[in-house]
Amino acid sequence: MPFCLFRECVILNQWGVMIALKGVSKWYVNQPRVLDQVSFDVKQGGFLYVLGGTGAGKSSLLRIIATQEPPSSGTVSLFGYDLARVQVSTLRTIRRALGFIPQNVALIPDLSVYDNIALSVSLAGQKVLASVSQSKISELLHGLGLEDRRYALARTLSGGESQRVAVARALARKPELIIADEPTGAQDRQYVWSLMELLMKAHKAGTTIILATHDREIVRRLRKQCAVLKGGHVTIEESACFY
Amino acid sequence: MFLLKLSMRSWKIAPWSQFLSSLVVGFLLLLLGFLFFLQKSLTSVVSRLERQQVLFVYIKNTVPDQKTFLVEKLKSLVGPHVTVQWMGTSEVLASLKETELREQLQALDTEIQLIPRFIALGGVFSRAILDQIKALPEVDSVESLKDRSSAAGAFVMLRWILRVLLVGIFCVLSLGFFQIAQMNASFYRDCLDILAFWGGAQKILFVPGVFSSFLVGLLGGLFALVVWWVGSCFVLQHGAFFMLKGIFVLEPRLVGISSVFLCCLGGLMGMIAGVLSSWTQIRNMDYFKVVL
Repeated sequence: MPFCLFRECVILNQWGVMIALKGVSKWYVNQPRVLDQVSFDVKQGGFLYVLGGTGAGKSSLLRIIATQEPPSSGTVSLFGYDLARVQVSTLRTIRRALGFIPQNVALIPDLSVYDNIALSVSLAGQKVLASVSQSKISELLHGLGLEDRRYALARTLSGGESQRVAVARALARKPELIIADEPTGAQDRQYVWSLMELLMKAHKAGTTIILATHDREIVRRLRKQCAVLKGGHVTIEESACFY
Repeated sequence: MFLLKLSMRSWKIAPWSQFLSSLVVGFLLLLLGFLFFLQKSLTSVVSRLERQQVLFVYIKNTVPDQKTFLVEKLKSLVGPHVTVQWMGTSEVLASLKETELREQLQALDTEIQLIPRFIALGGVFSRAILDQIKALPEVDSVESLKDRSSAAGAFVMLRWILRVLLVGIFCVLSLGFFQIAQMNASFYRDCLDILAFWGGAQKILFVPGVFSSFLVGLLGGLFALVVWWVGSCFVLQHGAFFMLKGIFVLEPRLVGISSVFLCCLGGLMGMIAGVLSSWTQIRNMDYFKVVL
């Protein structure tokens, strides 16, 4: 199955696997293993919840998949590339196809909401830049209740607002893969569902999504595949998720 | 555009520090320009001193006192840029301060021609011209005076001191610029990780650090430009009051060019320092381990 990352086209394997983890472990100095021999695949266009208690290793797993940090052992493949062997230029291309929503949001504090989103779009490559207009960004901001915060500096936003901007930033890039680390954690209920609606809309359009969450209500209402983390190990459950 | 907005971060975080840095850069640029200009002017002064001679052309006693004829003859030989001064018997006598001595000499001169007549020539002479003057039938002998060589030597020494100072100040300016650029680049450390994570190419990571340092350099250069321009115009207008008149070769055209050059130098040095300091930051960056 051919799959194009803007300038480069790669062939995903016969099962159309976009993310493949094999025996991935992660440990930090003087700390127990956060992840222990984790293996699973996510197909192109798939949706996966990552569930687990506090300190179960959800954020570490997501950071590894998002190319933010390497695993201590094991292999991670993204879009058919083994991340341990890619060149910097390929890594850059992979990152352009990602929409990562980190837990700490990572906005540039002295740029406005609009500029943060537009800057991220401009870095995603010419193809995305040409297709994402100002009105598209405005539409996203409207959908997340941020239209009146458009020119506010990122450092003046509340936690919930920052998270929504991070979601808007990821969606505006029209990524192939969205990795969201508890994007609803600091949201009021009214925004949780508008945010999930936007993510589901992107998923329906073909975007692969990995979502770490604590929110049982979301998992119960929008039934999808789950990866449940416990004691560093992962269990994949197809529809009903318990943790 | 967003990157340029981001480049203003150092000015938002520490405006006074950036402004003072620009002033210091401007002052050093000004000093650099002044020293360069001074040593350049000294070069022409030294060359003038080294090349200018005074010739005393003594006229034969047998030649009648034909002032105009002899002066014109020599002028046609040496060209229009040479000063020619006739010193006949009466002029030599008139130059003597003691009246008694003058009267005695005048009395003696009526019997035998005692007082030498000569023509003083001031300018630059080639060996060929000198030989032609010597070959003139009216000329008895020619003496050359080069009493400015010691002054020229002193100016040469001064010029070398100025050149050493110039290099020293340039080094100080370069190092200072690099430090400012390093400080500015560190303001963007977190942004570099974010930009790299969103797939920004290496040239994009350079933009904030380079542009912010370029701004410091450009502002410093503008400060130097204004002071240099105003100062030069003042010297041009009130040149007579300055002892430096005659050493400085100030022309309005030169003032314009040199002030624009100072401004461009500031911007260019800022840009180079920005590239170097951003490079040191980016070089140490681990693309595979981004801290968001």
